[in-house]
Amino acid sequence: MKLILTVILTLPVYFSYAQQNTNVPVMQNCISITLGYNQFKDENLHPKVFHGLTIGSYYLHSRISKNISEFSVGLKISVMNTAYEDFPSSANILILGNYRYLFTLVHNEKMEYYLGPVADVQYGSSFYFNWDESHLYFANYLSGGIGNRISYRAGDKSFDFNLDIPIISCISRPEYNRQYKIDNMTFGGILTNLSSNPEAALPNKNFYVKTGLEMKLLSRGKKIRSIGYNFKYHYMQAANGNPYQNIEHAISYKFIF
Amino acid sequence: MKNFFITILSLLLLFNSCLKDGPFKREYAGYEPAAINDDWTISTPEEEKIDRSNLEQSFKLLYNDNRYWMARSLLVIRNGKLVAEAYPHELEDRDQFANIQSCTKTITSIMMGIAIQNGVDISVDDKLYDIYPELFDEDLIKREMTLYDALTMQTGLEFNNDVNTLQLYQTKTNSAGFVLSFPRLHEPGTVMHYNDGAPQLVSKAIETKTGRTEAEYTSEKLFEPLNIADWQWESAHDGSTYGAFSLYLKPRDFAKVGQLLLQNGKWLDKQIIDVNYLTLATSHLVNSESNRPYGLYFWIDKRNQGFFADGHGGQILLVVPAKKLVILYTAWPYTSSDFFDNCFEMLNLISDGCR
Repeated sequence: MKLILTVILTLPVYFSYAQQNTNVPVMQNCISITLGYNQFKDENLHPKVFHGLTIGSYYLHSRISKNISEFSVGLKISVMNTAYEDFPSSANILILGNYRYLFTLVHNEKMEYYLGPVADVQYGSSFYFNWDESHLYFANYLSGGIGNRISYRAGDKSFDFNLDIPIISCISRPEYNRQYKIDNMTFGGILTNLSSNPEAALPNKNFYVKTGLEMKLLSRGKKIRSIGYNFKYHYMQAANGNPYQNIEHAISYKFIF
Repeated sequence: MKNFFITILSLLLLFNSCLKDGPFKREYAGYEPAAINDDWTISTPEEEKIDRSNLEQSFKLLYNDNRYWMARSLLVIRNGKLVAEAYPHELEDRDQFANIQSCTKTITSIMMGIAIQNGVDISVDDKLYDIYPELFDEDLIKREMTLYDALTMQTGLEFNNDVNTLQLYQTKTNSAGFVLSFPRLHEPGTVMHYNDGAPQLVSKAIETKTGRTEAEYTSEKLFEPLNIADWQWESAHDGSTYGAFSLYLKPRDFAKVGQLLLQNGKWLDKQIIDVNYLTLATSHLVNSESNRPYGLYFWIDKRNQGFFADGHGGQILLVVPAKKLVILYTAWPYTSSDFFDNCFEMLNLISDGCR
């Protein structure tokens, strides 16, 4: 907590320094396709891990000037099973959104370092068909935190490393002791359900680390391709239930234009 | 910069550690019941003449055999005394609700017998049309449907659990009317088709005849006499209790229901369930689609000469009158048939060990 406070308190100093760097604004759009391996452990259901393939797609828009302003929206679908089962018995759907404003703190010929606030939203649900087909299982959040980016140039290649960490969140988890009645599966009912039991959370209740290492393959003109590796660890512990954990490893291929 | 990337890669490798499965079960901890000052008298296998080796074999299967990884509780009652019990996942399961799933149907059947015992103007031969005519459509043959037809799953209605149970949860209309609105495939009383719709007709009949929901009536006439204080039972949107599912009981309380059945419906010298009804309900009346003998929401166990309630995922309340034996097994809710109903190996071992 002390470290977080230190970072927050020193941000204005960094930002005032960052204002000294100026660049011509550049607009970038990006479509990303990801393929990965996902693991979920929702102890509101049981202590076993569900694991399986995940595929996703994102759209990202960036405005790069002296600082970076960008937002992204994406959809991710996972099909999973347990060590006990030979067949996929669960699915997870997530809608993801992210906005960040990153200030340039270091800028030289070889590298740049950016730091700034990040808003992150995850909204979705898991369905455990064989285990408890009666309910939706979710670990949704809207969080504000800190984003970091290091960009390093080596010849005609460019490497980006991203790290996002939440500070304060609004989280939503199902209650542990729910009865058997199937959740209201109308559109409105699902939305209500996935937003139920909201509570404020610090990193001890909602913590994630999102990192990514990306290699941009620079090319002539505005068309750029990149490949990357992304990792996410997410832990959530609401007041009314048992812990939820998710680990995801994914590779991505981006079309930047 | 090289060091930077090595650090990053090392961190990524560190993160690569996967989530680990937590255990479904504890280490084998025996089967001696704890005295907790509830209504159960504790006894030993020797006193109640149960072969200890059979019990041990059975409870070791419960703890150690991967076929029973869903198990949450196993209780053995003989001569009205609790002889053995185990909660392989966690001891707290003793005091937590178990979702007894379709064993709820058996409770609905019991409530029919209790209503008869209490002089409610209701009989298995009653036509449902005579009880709630406003819920029927124009199909005149549907109007011949009796409570017996509903209690033996022979309504003839096309109710498919895979699709229609969810609709029963969601319907905003009268829940029994919703069930009755399904097309009729057969004449009532001719074809057994196990489903979640028929018990809703019985629940609504009990409600109409007693003026209380099935849950309210059960609370007063079954749970109170058995000193079952904690239970949960969900209702449909129209307020009617689900007749087929959604009843939650603690294992030791659910076992009391088995003991009541073993005692021919009598509890502390008071007749709770009509004896004639109970005899009929636990008789082999029809065969299921999978050719299993069935009574009035009771499955018949020919091997052990007993009868049992059976719920999804393996919730079993087995009563063997000849051996004065009640066995309760509850498990994690699991709906695929791939890991289903395996527990009779354990139950048979216990039953065979009764001298």
